Amino acid sequence: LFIMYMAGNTISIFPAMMVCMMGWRPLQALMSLSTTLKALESSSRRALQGLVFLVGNGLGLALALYKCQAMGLLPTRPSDWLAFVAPPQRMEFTGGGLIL
Amino acid sequence: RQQYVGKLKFASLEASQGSKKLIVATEKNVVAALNSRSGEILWRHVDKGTPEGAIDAMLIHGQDAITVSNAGRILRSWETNIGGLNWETSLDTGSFQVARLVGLQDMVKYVAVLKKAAISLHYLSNGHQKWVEHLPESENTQYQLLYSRGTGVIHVLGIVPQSHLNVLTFSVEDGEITKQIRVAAPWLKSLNGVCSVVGEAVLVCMDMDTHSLYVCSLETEQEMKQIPLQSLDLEFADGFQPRILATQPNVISASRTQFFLQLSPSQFSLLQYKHGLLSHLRDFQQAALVSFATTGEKTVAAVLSCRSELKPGSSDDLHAGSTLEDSRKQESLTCSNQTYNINLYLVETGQRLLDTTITFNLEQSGAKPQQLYIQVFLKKDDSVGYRALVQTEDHMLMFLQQPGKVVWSREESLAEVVSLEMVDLPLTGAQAELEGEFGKKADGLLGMFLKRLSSQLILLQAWTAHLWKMFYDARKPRSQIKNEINIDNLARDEFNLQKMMVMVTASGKLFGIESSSGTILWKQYLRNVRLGSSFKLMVQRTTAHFPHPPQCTLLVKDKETKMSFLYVFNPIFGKRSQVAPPVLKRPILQTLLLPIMDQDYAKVLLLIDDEYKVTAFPATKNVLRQLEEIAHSIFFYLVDAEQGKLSGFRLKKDLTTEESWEVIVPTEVQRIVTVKGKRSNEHVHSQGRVMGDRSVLYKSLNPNLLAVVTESTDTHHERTFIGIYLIDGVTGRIIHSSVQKKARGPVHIVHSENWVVYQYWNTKARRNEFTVLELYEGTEQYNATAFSSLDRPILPQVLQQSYIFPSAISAMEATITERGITSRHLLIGLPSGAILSLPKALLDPRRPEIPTEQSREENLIPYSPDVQIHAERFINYNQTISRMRGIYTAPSGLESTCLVVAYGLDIYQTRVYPSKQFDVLKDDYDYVLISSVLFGLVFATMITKRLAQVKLLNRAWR
Repeated sequence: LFIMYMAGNTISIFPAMMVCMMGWRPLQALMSLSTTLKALESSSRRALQGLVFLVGNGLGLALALYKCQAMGLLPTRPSDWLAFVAPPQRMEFTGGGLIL
Repeated sequence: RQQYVGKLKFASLEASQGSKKLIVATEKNVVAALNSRSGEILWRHVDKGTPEGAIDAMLIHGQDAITVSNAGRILRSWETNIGGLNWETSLDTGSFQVARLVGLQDMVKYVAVLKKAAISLHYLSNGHQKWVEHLPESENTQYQLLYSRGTGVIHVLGIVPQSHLNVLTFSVEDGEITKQIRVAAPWLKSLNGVCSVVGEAVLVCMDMDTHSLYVCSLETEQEMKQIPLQSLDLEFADGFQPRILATQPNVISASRTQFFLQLSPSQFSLLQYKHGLLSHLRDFQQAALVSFATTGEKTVAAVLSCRSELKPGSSDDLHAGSTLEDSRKQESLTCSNQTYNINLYLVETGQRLLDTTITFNLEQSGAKPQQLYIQVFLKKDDSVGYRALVQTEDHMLMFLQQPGKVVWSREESLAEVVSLEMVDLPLTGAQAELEGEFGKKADGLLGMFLKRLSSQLILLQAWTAHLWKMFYDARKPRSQIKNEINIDNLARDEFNLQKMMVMVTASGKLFGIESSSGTILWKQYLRNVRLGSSFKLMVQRTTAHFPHPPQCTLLVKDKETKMSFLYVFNPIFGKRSQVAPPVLKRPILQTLLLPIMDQDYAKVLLLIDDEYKVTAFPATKNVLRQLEEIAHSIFFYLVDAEQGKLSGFRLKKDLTTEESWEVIVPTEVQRIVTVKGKRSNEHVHSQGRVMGDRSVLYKSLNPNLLAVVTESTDTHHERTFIGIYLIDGVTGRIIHSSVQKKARGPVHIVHSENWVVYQYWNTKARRNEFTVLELYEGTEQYNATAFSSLDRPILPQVLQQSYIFPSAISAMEATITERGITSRHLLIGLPSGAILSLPKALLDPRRPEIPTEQSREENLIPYSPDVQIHAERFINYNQTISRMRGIYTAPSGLESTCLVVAYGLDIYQTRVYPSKQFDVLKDDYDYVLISSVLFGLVFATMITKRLAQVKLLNRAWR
């Protein structure tokens, strides 16, 4: 987390890689949720432990997303969608000019 | 680049057989030498385009060409071999009358220039003035003729209209008036054309009222002798001003005693005045032009005549056709089959010289010949050979050689291009076949399948033919392969970089020019177009709608009669289209090309006439129905510059209009100079600009916006101003107006996307300035899906900035690309002939004075008031375009590429890449390396796969 803070909000290869890793690890952990749950099968408070695992990973993911947002990697502003805005249809046609 | 000189005013051909030069002076104020073998320009000097540069006279002597320009103000001498300026002198003011070489004792030494009130004599070698003398009684006497024949005296003829002639005789040595006589001539109004000097200073004049010739020797006689024409069996047409054409082969000897008398537009007769006796040598009927030429001792007359249909071949019988041609004569010389003959006649006797006929055909252009120049030389067997330079009505120069071979021809009307459009070339035959398959209606599964098979076969055939040709070409040396472009193999290239340029010239000639090579593929002369008409060219159907041929429409409006007509043609082949255009009974004020199409995919053209009624073309039922549906959304605007009135009209369902708005610009204070709308084919990719804080500043993209420029009528440098109005063409709402004080035109303006750039002269700071206006809607878009001018509650924000530009401008245009993704550049034509490509980002009103973090993030360049001209931004390098009048831009098939045509006296075509070639692989792209690496990797995987298999097998065995 500290490293994340230190990395700053500029986009360069190292912070980007770190953010990727940060986002990727909780995702990976969530993917392997079933195997983790299997490992916890013996435990008595299985549901709670599973929930804690889920929440922890979710927090990690949220942190990564927040970091992305802070770095400006998420397309949330209208400016990010500007290239896809269709030109408005014209309703009137005009023509003419100086009298020939 | 192609260079032109313009319409000829004077021309001179050298008389020797081995000469290669042709000196011309043209109406475009150009002095040039043409190579008479190939028609290329050897050298060319372009003077100012204004009347100040106009060439009044040109005289040739040996290696020197003397020109008088700027209404007789400047006398120049050119070296004809290399085009260097020998000397230049300025003359006194006074309206120029005539200039002439003066010789003395077998030497041509001086140039005499006759002005309204003075005559001056200059040395031919250095231009110094020998003497200048005032002419007596210059207030009421018009001095119009100058004559000398090497006897040491100069005769100056002046006329007091309807009273008498003043004949002054000057001595060449000191300019003293040695003799002054008055000759009574109460019938004479003007000397020009009517009178001429023949023989040994004998003045011959023609009087129309009494049908007689007057003869007077300048040296001895004091009275005019009257010779009625009836005594010569001659008559001339009523209402025609007769002309006398004489020749003086050498300045130091006397003129020829023979002269031409033009009796009617098509009738000339050769007369002789010798020893006080006037005799009639020969009649030329149906002759269009006559000209004299001399070589050595022989002087010949060349007669250009129409070859009549009824007497083919026998040009001796020119008289015979006269009765039949009487009716045709009235139409002032139209030649029905466009075939003309040139014949030579010996002037002494009027005999026709054998084997001197040149027959040529003008069938293709249908224009009449206008000027004829002859170059005569003696062949080895002492017979006369000649070449002829013919200029036709459509400003075409033809150089002819015996017998009727066209050595070269030049299309000088291209020096004055008025309107220009670029049309895509058609698809190749095979592609068209494939397209046509889809275009036809379906007829059963099997039929379609068979059709597909056949078209694929054709494709295969074309491909093999192409391969075979490539193979065949590869064996030939590289230099022999010529990619000749003609109208048959015309086809679109992969990226649509070659196009057809359709040019309309001021003389009324249309050209189709292939853009990459500049070859003229077709030309078409519109015969009934008078000079000074206004043209508007529109592309109604592009080549995209195979099998329908593309269609262009030209609206021609005569300035005097105000009547207009439409000319519909195929822009690829230049043929007149089968479609009959509507007959226009009323003068047309303006046109509008609608994006709706009829069933043949031709765009609908609306023409509004002076009763504000609208005519549609094509006017089929389908079109009229569509028009009725959308009539409420069609608007016209008309700008009357004379009355200073802008008015808008709304189309009603019955194709009449009603006025919806009017803006009056008071003409006492300012006058409207230009009105610029947006180009209809312009695409804007980005709807806004991203700011530093990543919000969006939306552009105000009003397609109906007009930029109106006015100039003040007061031209005093303290009070002069220009005004800019941005007006909505639908509602007439003035969106922005600004007045630039202490500024003067000419204003060049570019209006595109959401910006307007204009350039003017700042009279206070004495410099050229650019001002850029940009319109933004703000960070919120009012209606993102549709734009309606009628529903715009918020006025756009206008940003404005000005820049200093170090040079004047002769033309300005913005680049345009297919989809509008590429950044825009301004193409600025400089008076030096260069075209500067200036990035629009340099003229951005959001350039900050103090750069901040945010503006840095937006890539805004900090404001600096001066825009510099960097030589590396010239897109035409040293291929300068003299007297540029306009730049035309067209998109190509590649998004990065924009085609540019600059026209003026020359025509220049190139491509520009405003954002570099981002969609094209670089020239140095290493195909070999990359493909070899790729193949190597594939190969390596295959080998390792095999190795791994072997290893696995071995392990399994163990």
